[in-house]
Amino acid sequence: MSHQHVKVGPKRIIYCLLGIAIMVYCGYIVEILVMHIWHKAPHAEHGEAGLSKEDKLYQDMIAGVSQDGGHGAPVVDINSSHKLYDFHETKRTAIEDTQNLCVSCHGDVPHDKKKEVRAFLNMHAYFMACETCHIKVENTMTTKFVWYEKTTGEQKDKIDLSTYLKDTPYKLLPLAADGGKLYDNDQMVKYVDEFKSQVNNMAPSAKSAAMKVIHRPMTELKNAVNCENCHTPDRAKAYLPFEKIGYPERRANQLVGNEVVGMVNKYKEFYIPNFLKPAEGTESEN
Amino acid sequence: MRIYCFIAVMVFSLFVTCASAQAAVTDGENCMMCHKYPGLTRVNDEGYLRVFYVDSENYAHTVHTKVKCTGCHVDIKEIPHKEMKPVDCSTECHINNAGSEKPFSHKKIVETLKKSIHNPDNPDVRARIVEDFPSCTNCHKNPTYRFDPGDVESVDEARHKERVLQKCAVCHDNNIDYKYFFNHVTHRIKNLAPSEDVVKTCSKCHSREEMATKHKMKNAAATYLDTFHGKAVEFGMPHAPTCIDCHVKKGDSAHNIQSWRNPKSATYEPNRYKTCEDADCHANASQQFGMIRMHSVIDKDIYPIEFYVALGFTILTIGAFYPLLGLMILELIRELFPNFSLRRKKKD
Repeated sequence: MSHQHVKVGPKRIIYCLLGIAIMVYCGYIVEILVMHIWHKAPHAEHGEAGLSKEDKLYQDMIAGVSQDGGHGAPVVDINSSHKLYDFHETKRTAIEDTQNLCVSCHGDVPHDKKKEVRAFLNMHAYFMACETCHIKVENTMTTKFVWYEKTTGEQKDKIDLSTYLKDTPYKLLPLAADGGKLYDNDQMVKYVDEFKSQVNNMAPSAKSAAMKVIHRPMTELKNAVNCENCHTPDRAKAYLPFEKIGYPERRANQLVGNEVVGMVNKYKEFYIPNFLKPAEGTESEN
Repeated sequence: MRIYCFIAVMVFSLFVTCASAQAAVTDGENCMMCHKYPGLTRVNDEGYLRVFYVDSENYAHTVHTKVKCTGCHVDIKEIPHKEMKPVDCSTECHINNAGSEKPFSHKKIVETLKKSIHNPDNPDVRARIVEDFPSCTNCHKNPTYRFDPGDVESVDEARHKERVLQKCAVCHDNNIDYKYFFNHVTHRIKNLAPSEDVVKTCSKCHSREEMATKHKMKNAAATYLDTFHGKAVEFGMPHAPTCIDCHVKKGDSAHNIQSWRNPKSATYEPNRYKTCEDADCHANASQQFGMIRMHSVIDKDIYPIEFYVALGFTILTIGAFYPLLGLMILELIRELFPNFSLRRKKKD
């Protein structure tokens, strides 16, 4: 007796597939309804694996941190604002700089030591490359300043500066007069990449020597560009050539106006004598 | 319902006009000169990022829009700011109580919280670990007003928006004040947070095993999520009963939650059924109904009967339901492939 070949119609296929899907879903529902009663730990969705970055931070905060657990952490995600301090719920996503070589080690929130001014310095670091202040050039009028896009690196001579730099995707970067890079040239990029890949296996002396090479182009901290170099009542003497980098007259005047300059002076009086001169060895070396 | 619709119409009509009026929040103290910059950030001593940026556009639509910065941050007297204490919500914040000249503050709520189980000095507290107890900002953020223009789409006999505004202006100056109060009232009419958000807020502390151990409690969030109530929230059922629905007495403040051992508590065993018998929940709940434990704790030592019943059902599920399910799936697969066989075909 030979077997008869049975033909399967499209209707039957659909019914069967639908039936299988329903069965699997039933199994899933029963698993949720019945099996969860046996958990010892919190549900998976409340465990660490299912936590959002914000929730994880919150739980860490509640749990407390070790003395050396966080302070001075070299790289802090600028979008990881802590929930406990997020009463105002800014809801903004900061644009992270993926182009700058300094940021690749120091992060988008690089200033962490000088308590009095670190927030202000970080605020400036949001729209100014580290090189702008940490490589002080002799004559800014012969230096070329460009605005680079933080995610693509695309350079522009001018951007819209008619209003303040809120969520700007651009950062100000000084270049040599011929457009050459002052810091992150190919050679330095290669050197830093090698350093980062080997740093965990390096002897302290070798690490220290490499760090010196990496930071050699930087101006000594006590001579770096400080607030009053730019926010000076005498606009002609300002370190940054505001007009040249695209600031309209009105905005440039605001930056050197009484409000801003007055505040800088207040800081100066309050933290006399060295508030803008980071003490030797206190800045992060990371 | 009619009143609700009427107010909703007004909100809708005011939505556009308010947006522009409120966006221009007075910043007489000029705090935004610095705080308007998103990069105004620092890492605190514990290694966490603090953002000092305030989005003024967003702030203009929040419930605190009329409060000046120094209304809450009272320590700020000078630039540069000195080390500040955390904001105390019981501070009088330079705005007046509606209908009076008295300064406004959340003092009353703070006092209520002090009498609740969420205060370490409450006699029913088992472990007086002060830092484990919540402050205002542990549960509350600065929410924006809850406009929902969709609410008014179904209203037929609504006034035209200009007539609505005209009616208000008869008595009130045409300023943002009455718009502010409308926003405030309609915000309060709505359920302030979806069920899952309420559970999430309580879970910040009550889902943590170490916290439960320290305070000699069970993991309240996990044991709740195992119940029908919890499952309803997990499956996204609108108005599913949350922690607040059972732990807060009808008409009482959510800040006045008491221990289940306190006779004034919504969960005090002899009176618990009164909480269940809300018209929207279990209208005819008996006293026995209230004795059903709503936190599913499967523990052999505490509740042996429940433990063995649960064990029996689990064995039944694994031993009967899943095999049956498997057979049915195999049957359907056979229907799909009726000619398939693992045996070798015999040659004729």
